[in-house]
Amino acid sequence: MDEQINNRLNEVFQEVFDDEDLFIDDDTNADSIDDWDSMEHINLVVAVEEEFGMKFSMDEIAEMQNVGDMVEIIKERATNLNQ
Amino acid sequence: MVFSGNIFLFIFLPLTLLVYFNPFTKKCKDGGRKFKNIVLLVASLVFYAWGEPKFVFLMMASIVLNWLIGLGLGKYERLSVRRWLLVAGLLLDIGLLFVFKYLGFAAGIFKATISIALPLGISFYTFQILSYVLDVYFNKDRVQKNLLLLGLYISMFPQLVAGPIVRYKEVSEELLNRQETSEDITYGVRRFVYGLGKKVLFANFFAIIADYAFFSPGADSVATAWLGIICYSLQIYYVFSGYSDMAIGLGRIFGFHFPENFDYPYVSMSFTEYWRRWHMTLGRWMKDYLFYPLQKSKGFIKMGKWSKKTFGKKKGKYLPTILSLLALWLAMGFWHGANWNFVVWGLVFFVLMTFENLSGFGKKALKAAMEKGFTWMKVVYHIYVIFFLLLAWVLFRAENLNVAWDYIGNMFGKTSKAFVDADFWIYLSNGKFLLPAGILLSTPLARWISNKVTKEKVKDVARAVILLVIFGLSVLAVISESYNPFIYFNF
Repeated sequence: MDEQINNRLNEVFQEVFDDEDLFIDDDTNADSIDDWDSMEHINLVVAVEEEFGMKFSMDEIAEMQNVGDMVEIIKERATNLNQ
Repeated sequence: MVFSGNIFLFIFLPLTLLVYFNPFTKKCKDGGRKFKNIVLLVASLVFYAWGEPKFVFLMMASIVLNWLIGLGLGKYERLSVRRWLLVAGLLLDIGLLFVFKYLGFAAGIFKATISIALPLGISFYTFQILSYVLDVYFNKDRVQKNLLLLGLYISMFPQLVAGPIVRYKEVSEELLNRQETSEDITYGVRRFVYGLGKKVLFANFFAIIADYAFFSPGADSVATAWLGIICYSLQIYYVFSGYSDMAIGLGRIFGFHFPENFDYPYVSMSFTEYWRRWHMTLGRWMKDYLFYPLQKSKGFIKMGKWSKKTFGKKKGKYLPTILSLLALWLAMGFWHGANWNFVVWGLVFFVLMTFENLSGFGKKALKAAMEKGFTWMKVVYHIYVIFFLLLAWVLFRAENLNVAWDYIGNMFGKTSKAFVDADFWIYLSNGKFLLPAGILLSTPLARWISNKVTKEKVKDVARAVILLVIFGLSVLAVISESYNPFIYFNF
């Protein structure tokens, strides 16, 4: 299931950061993607929310450190994991 | 009461420490935690009442009301109820801030006169209260049922009047479970002494030159105007980062780990970088409680989608970026004071940050800043930052916009009669030691040297000697009437 989440998440990242060669793993964070700053963070969050049909809390948005953190929350809460 | 004054250093702090660390607390069941917290709360209220004998009750009332709102947020699950409680809290806190800080300014726009005294530290403690209400709104498990502990979080004297702005969830654990270790106390004392030195040895000196230059800007030569604003930049850095050091140090002595507030801001190569290094806890507060929630709001997301559809994928991002930056920088400007200066000051950063964001300049400069070694581009980036920063500090320091325009005009020879005058040389020679020292120590030079010294023993001895010298000189400065800045001219 992790792999499936990862693949879908990767597509969201490629779309948001407009980079088809972008590949993410659990350790990917704002430092490893140049365009991932506080401006782009919310765009990313909203795109992920739409893809997985879930909501992040403001707390989680501020605290997410890397893709791994994001995946954890998605696993916990996503409503359409098996699409 | 200020940290660098006689009363605080020689009466208030020793007494508080004596009662707080008295050996009898060891006999208490909870290790004296409850007693210690009460001591710290009472000391904090006394500290505040010393400067604000009336407004201390305003702060206490505000704490109680927000405690009640927090209890409600902790109890009710239903979103509609929680929203109402949040709105009530925001209206109360921002309303109080508005009345005491902005009403006079707002009335001025309509040509009316209302003058209300500004309660000490209200911008800082209101932001901490808001942090509590919002943290409990985001996650109801965070509710603090104990009024004393909530009161302690908001009024704790080390950070009460000038930050760092601590987020509630950062210290909520430590309010009850913390340990005053000897390592922490040693570190805290060291940090406090560094901060004290920054304030009384550096900032007070730079204040003399800055005050002189701003006293009658029309009479300044071009060189004096530049020297004056350079000194003001150093003054405000050393005052503010010094206070933060003292606050972090004091907090550590009592077992609290406050967040850092400054990270050598003047070495920045872009304003994107600068605002990650200057008053970091305010920037963080704005990001977490204003910037993100605004960008994440339904209206904003809708507008973003509309914008993307209308202007295309790439350019469509500009509109939400510009609007959220505008909201952020208006808030930043107003937070610093109810005056047109600060509004314009905020707008300057809005323009700079928008430019850096939309052009990609900010990211390029950030990347360059992280690379090692010297490049000429780094010099260009750095000059760009310092140049606009100095201009922005003029807006910040001047009493009103007219003075600011005059001053800036003077810097470029518009009104000044001479390029250099005798005053410039006098001030420069008075500062021949402190000016270069102040500039060098606003960079990570000291940390770099300390990292080069590998022998722990050498490090410890050097550190102890430096600390003693700073402490001795600072105490001398304080007891010989620290605000008599002429102490430097006596040597």
